[in-house]
Amino acid sequence: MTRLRIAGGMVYDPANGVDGEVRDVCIEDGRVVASLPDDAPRLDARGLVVMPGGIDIHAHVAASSVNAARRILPEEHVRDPERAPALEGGGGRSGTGGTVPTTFTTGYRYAGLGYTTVFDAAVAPAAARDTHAQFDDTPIVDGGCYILMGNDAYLLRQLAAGERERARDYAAWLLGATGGYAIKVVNPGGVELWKRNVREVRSIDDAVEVPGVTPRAILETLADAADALRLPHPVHIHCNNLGVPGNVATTLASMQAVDGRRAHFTHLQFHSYAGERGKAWSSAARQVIEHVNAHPGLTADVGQVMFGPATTLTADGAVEYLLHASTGRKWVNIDVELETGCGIVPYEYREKAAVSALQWVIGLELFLLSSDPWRVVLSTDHPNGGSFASYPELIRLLMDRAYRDERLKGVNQKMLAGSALADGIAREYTLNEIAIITRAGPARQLGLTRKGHLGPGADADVTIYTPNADRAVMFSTPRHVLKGGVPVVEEGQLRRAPSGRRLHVRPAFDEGVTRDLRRWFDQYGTISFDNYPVAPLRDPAVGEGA
Amino acid sequence: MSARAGIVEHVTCLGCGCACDDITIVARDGRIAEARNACALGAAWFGDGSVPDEVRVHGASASLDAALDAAAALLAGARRALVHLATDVSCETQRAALGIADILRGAADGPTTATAAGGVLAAQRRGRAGATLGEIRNRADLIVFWGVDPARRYPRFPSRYAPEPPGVFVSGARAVAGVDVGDAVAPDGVEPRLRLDPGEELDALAALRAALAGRAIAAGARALAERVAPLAERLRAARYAAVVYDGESASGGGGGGDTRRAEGLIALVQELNAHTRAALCALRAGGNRSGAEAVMTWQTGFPIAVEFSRGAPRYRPDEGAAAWLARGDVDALLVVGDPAALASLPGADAPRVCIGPRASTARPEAVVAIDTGVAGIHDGGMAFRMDDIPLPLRPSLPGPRDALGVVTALAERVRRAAAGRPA
Amino acid sequence: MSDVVTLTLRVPLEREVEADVVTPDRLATLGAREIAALPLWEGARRLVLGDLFEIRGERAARVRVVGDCARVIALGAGMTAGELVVDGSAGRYVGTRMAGGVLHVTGSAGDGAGLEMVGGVLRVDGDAGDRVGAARLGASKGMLGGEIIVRGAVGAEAGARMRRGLVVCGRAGARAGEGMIAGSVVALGPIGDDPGRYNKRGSIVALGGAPVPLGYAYDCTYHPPHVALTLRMLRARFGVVVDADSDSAPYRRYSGDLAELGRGELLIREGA
Repeated sequence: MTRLRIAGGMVYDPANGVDGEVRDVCIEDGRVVASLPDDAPRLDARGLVVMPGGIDIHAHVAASSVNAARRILPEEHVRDPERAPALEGGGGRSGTGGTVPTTFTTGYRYAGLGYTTVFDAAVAPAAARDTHAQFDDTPIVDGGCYILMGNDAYLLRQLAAGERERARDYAAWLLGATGGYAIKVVNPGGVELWKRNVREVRSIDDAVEVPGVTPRAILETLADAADALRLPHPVHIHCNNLGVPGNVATTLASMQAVDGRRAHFTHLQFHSYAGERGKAWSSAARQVIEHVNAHPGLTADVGQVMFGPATTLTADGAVEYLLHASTGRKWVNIDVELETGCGIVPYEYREKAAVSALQWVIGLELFLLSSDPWRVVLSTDHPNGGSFASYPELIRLLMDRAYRDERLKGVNQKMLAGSALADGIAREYTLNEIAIITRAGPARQLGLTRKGHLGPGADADVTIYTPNADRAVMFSTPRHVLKGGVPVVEEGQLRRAPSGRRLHVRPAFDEGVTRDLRRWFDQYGTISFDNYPVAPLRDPAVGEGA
Repeated sequence: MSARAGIVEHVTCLGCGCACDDITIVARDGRIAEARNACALGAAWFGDGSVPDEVRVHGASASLDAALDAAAALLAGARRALVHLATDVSCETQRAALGIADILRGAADGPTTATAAGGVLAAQRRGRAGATLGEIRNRADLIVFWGVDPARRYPRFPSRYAPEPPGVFVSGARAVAGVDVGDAVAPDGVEPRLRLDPGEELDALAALRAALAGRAIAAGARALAERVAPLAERLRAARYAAVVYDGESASGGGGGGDTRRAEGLIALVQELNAHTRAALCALRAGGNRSGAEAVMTWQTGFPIAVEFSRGAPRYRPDEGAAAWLARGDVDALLVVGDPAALASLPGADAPRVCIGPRASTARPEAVVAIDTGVAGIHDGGMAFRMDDIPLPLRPSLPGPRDALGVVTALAERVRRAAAGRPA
Repeated sequence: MSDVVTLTLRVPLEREVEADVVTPDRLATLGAREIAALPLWEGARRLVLGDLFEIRGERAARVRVVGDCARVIALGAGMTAGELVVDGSAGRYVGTRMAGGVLHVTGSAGDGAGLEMVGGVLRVDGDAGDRVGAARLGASKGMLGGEIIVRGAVGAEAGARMRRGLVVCGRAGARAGEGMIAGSVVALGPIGDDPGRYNKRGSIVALGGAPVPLGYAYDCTYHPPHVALTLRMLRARFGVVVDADSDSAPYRRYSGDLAELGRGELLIREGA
């Protein structure tokens, strides 16, 4: 296990400028190395495609909200039993799938697609301990989580008091206390407003609590914090008005608000709608993506909608109420104390439904009109826009125009007038670009220097595919997957399931904030300040130690 | 302070689902002398912290190694092994124990099925509009105690969560209302108060919903509608209402009736959110039973009553541990946790392995009994509050061997034994 | 190749055995030896069909099961085509999630007959237990389509949460049509307590009378043409015996559950 030469494959390693060249990838003790002696064990990769392991920058796989969703989906789980894989030495675990699979099944299925790193994009700080426990039961993949801060009562208080530095110190403390990787903002201020029964954010200058506390101020403060704390990933933003027609206005305003700072805008598709509430919707993908194209400090993931079952689950409780009211489907809302919210509604995107078709088109437009694959990467906001299991199908849509156009003919056309995709987009992603939007790009956006590439020093997370003209087949059935040098998939069979590592940060901050925080907890908390931080994580923080 | 005395602060109590984490344990001479801040129920749960420390096989003292071998042999040789996730163990221990059921293609269940399945099933049908306890504390301006006086089984709920403590977003005293359902009464002195016969409860919930939605009601329901109207008005006028009920069936009709009641409450509070903000709060008992549901959910997709005979989890809420035992379908039972609650189940005399606090006191006596510490007194780890907020456990006394270590060791032996069996 | 596959239970069962493999569409593709090797489950114990049943015939989409199968559960589960006749009683969950074909139980059926059925016809000549055509516990949708005709009485929660389709029975137990999304429950006899709670758009027809829950409001008394049509269809297709007066009788119509959409109905035959 300690040494392996992956010999003679067509290597796609865009971070190192390697675009389909035939060469060897050498692995020693879990890392890529420049060379190995000739007698090192070899894996014959001739004729195969070699890429770094996939990185999911935005999914919901291990949060308390995810478990709340699993709990209300017995119908899906009954229909998708997953037997334990036949692992070397035994110990494989069974589970159930559907759009929100169980933890072991999640790890196995991601690895089965060649993904080796996954971030849970929305963790309520008070429930971070739950996330780490779920990750402990999610094998193979390295995991990290983003910590919800955009509606945090303590943080909003600091903004109200003009204490932006203390807000930054609080963000730093919170990341360390929760074992988080990045700052997440969901519907800034809007979740707090939902808790106050205010269900609409008209603009990013709406006052949330007191004048001056606005979505804009929250975005600015947290974007500044991420920069000042030199976090590897910038603030990760889910804008106001998700899913609402006409939300392009708040989306662009939010992008302008953080101008000059680093920022990541997530599931952009859900925020790129023109039109008005109660009236016709249309695509605003071009406007949004052109703004992103022109602003190199911004990065994004798309949040593509895929036809079929989904489970919408988000900290954005207000949105889920609307979805429940319009579909009549089962609905969970959990307001999380002084921090955030949570809403869950099972959903289905249908080709014949006008809104689903529009969403599908907008996502594809964002991909196809993006000028920089390094900055606009692949996601379905799993399981919101569809399951991560649909990534191979999404890759096919991006790489195969004929297939895409054929699919486009089959969808509801009602809202597609004037859309760029309906007018015809010739672009087809290359394998190198796919390697960027699923590997190298997310790694760069996340500041993961050891992931997403195959240069010396990189983690030996490698996926080896058998080329196939049907890209969905190719990307759904990797021939080999290595994780940290361990061959987890061999000849298409899952054979090993080592524990993944935890990716987290521990930024420095002024300890003064903890004195104030202790008072806040004593006065209003239901968890003792001393009990709030999660237990020390086994893996060192990113940037500290090996 | 002498070496034989110690103080541990911020200890989490698992005496009920409130999981108060502000307990200070004062220990002297290896015993708990004081559990500061604990209520009477909590103090009784901590006791003096003494638990038996034995390892027994067929009633005789044995080494841990021999006991684990005997347990693995019994379980691996079973046609159907049932793993019961009982109370007072950590989530870490529950995770390892559930793995044993999976590897053996056995079955698994926890305490919820017997006492609170109704709320679980109703929420699976409809979802739920809820909040964590701290959100209720900090935001709710109206608390409705529906057929429950929390002082009885959740003594510190009123002082830690609602209605007593100050809340960030609550100015002044909050409003409280009560609903009595037969003998299940709201706290003394709470006014206004709606008094219902148990047979009226579902119709009252429906009448409240109809009133909130502004829908006409049947002529025969007018009298009931008039009685519930004041409560409907209060709910609608609240900025954030919390409806608190007892999720454990002892206070309700029990069995299937409980599901309907939970469904009625869920439907009411969901409807309320069309007009104002509201949360339903199901009070749940302690011992980390919420943890058992959470762990079963993330490992199997189902919170209760799972069986693995076909190699993957199957959901059997129509059956569950009690039915499997009563039917004689279980030929080896592994209880992980306090075995006391299981003694009352019919058929629980199946050959048993008990691992957990007071395992050696189980009657009838287990084939293999391994005493461990109590999660939160001797053992650390994580446990869930009734609202699924995870909390750390802080051991305050040295105890017998820790449950996690024992269950992990057993799981490893079972895995090796099962690897030799045909699939 | 034969006309029919006959499975005869060798000895009475002491414990329940799960036989969800017994579907005509599956047996239509299998030879006798393969049929004998199909797995059955007694709890967690795996048996094979040949252990418990004597098998005659092979590769036929007509299947006859003979013997007291009251402890054989999930017969015909998920069947999509063909004909399955249980000559005697069937255990729990007969015809669960069946999507097509005809399943005929000449005796009685246990709980959960036709649970979450999708299509086809399930006939029971005797009685059936609780939750005929209903949803599994914890699931939000019951029967999605097809027809269930029970000549005898059914237990509680007949048609609970059904979304489409038809359940016909003699006497119905408590909580008939609970949480119906749509579809019809027709009881030729009386209906037990508390029918139609949480009903959204479902239709519950009681030829033998029913209590009117508080969540239902009286609309009118009329001659519902769809009831007459349904009854005629039942006579013609299934030989169901219903007195001719029922077709032309007046019915009291109540709408409910008013706590839900209030678009469901409870039709009670006048004079019942």
